[in-house]
Amino acid sequence: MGRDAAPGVVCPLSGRGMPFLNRRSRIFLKMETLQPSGSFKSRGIGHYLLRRVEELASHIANPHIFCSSGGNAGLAAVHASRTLGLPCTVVVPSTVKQLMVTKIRTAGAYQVLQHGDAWADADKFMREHLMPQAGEAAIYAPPFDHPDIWAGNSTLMYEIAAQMPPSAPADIVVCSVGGGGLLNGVAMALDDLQLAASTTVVGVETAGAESLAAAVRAGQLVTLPRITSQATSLGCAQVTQMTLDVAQRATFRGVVLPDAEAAMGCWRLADDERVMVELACGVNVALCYDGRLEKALGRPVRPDERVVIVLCGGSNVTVDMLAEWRKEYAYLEQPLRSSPERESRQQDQKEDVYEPAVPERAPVRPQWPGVEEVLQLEAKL
Amino acid sequence: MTAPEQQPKLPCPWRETPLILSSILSKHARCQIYLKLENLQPSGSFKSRGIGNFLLSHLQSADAEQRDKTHFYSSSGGNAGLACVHAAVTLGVPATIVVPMTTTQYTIDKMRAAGAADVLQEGASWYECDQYLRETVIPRAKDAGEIPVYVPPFDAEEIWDGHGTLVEEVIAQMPSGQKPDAILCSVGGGGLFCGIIRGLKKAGLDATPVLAVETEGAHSLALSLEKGELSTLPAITSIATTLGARTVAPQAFAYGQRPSVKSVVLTDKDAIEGCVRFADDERIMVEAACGVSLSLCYGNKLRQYLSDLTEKSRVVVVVCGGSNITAEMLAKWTRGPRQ
Repeated sequence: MGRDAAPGVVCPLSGRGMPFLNRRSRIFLKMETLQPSGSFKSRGIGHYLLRRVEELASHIANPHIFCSSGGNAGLAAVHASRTLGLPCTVVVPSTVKQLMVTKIRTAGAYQVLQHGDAWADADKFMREHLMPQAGEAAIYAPPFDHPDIWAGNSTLMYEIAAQMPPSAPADIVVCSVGGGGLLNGVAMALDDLQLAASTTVVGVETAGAESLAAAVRAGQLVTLPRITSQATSLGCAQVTQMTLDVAQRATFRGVVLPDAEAAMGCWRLADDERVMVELACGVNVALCYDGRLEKALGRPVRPDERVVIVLCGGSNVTVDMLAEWRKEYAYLEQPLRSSPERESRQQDQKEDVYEPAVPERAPVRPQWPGVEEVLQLEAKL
Repeated sequence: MTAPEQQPKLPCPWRETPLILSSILSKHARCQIYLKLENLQPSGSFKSRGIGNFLLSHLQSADAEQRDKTHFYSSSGGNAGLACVHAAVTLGVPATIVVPMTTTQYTIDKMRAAGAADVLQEGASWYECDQYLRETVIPRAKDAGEIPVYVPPFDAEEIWDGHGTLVEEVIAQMPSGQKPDAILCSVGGGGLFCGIIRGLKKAGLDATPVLAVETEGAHSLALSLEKGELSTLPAITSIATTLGARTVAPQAFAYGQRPSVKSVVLTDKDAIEGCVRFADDERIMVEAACGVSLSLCYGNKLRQYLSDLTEKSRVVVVVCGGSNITAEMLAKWTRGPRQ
């Protein structure tokens, strides 16, 4: 694929009329989980890199991308770079999970280095020691804070507008807020489409990463002293100025939910749609249950209202993590346990769990060839 | 048959689904793996196409008065039944599902939540409940002035042609007009398989290799091919119960004998591995019937069946989807037998 290939894809809008809000309202999921890198970040970072490559002086033959995100931004940078046929180096702090480091390597990073205890250390090391080696050919990929990234993200809102029937546009758009890159993109598109006045935007954060809510309370940008939410993808200490401006509009509603409810959103989405997302995304889905959206809006959701959730995606989730969350936050489901419907469902789910006839010595998952082994095998080819 | 100008403009009960290139599975399989995401169909599986087309064809060949009286009936408590309900709701007609006593309340609730007109329970097994549907429920409906239509789970041309629409889409979606070098699909009764063969024929791509994948214990196609005649499994012993047709459709047996088709039989353990690894790699949960096809992408198994495979080969895997999977099942499968 050449340099003109778009690093993001058009994602389906899946309208299931999911009954968990109320039986009559329509919930739509914008399936950004299907982006090449697994999250909406393919759009923004992809667009940003396209612009930077276009701007490069013509004598630079071999641009090299550099990214200091060990999360979905790093993954998006690697995927986009590969689509453009360019190498991408990722430098992350030692605190980044091995799961993500492996995913970034598998995606085709030129190299992944771990340096320092915090993002700032990794970023500094990359800028001061690695990028100078590439000289003019070095292109820095920020995780969210650039208008070209927001413009790339905004394509998803244009798609939503095109995918909804013209007579029935989205009334409410729900998206997560980390640094605000996604929210900025959504707002830019709504403004351009002249839908801003008629569309309520709900920006959702997790407690312990609520940099936007803190800024709104203070009336100005603030820096959170630390991130304590497990939804680390939302773990940005300060949002952008544009994000604060958007949050101060009359059509905006901010919501902060605890990690436990984000986890609940993740396992309910898995139960109902058989799609797995990380905490930063599950927190949006949680809004659809138990009146949380109504609480956020301060009014009931009308039966004819169309709610679009940006299912932002994200790779920081596995089958085991989902099971852990369900165990850790089981108390959330307890009040419902006494309902006969819930009991019957739990009863039936036990029956649904089939005991596979695996032989006694069946190897457990770690013995199946992991990606590391595949990479080793590849190295021998 | 009504004349074309009288045919009603009915909504389509299935959707076009994305075809995505999976970089992780491509790395494991050492070729280009394209995933056709049928899990995104309204009913959660590819059956939305075939069953949807079956219902659609019936309604299109009926006049307005007949359409008003049409009531669809299915004896599938699985993906076919769900597809029937979803399609009927989209088309604005009633659908009733009859299920055996062994069907869980959870499944029945899901059918009702999807909009089934009614869900009846009768019979100890599928055979008895199907008999009850044909011999009691449908005649009763006819007497009541309805036009009841029995919806088979896989053995009808309209169903195969519905499933075949996925081939048209794949060809249009492949990058730069390239053609797939192979297609992988799971085989239960063979409806999907027939649809793919017919779709390839229609597109002039008869020679495209098709891997027809089954689990051991539900390998009705492989059994028939081995015996050289349409044969019946004594029982279904695989956990991939949605592949559990003891005899494949005769047309599937016929297509299965083509030189471009390779029959693949894998184990339940392979199917489980496919489900678990796919969930962790692509974050999509599929049932064992689907996991078995995906498992071919791991552990360099593909080359055993496609000897010409290179790193550039484009292999399309039909991610058929299916509702018979939960996070609990997957978690149990990752832990293995020692818990």
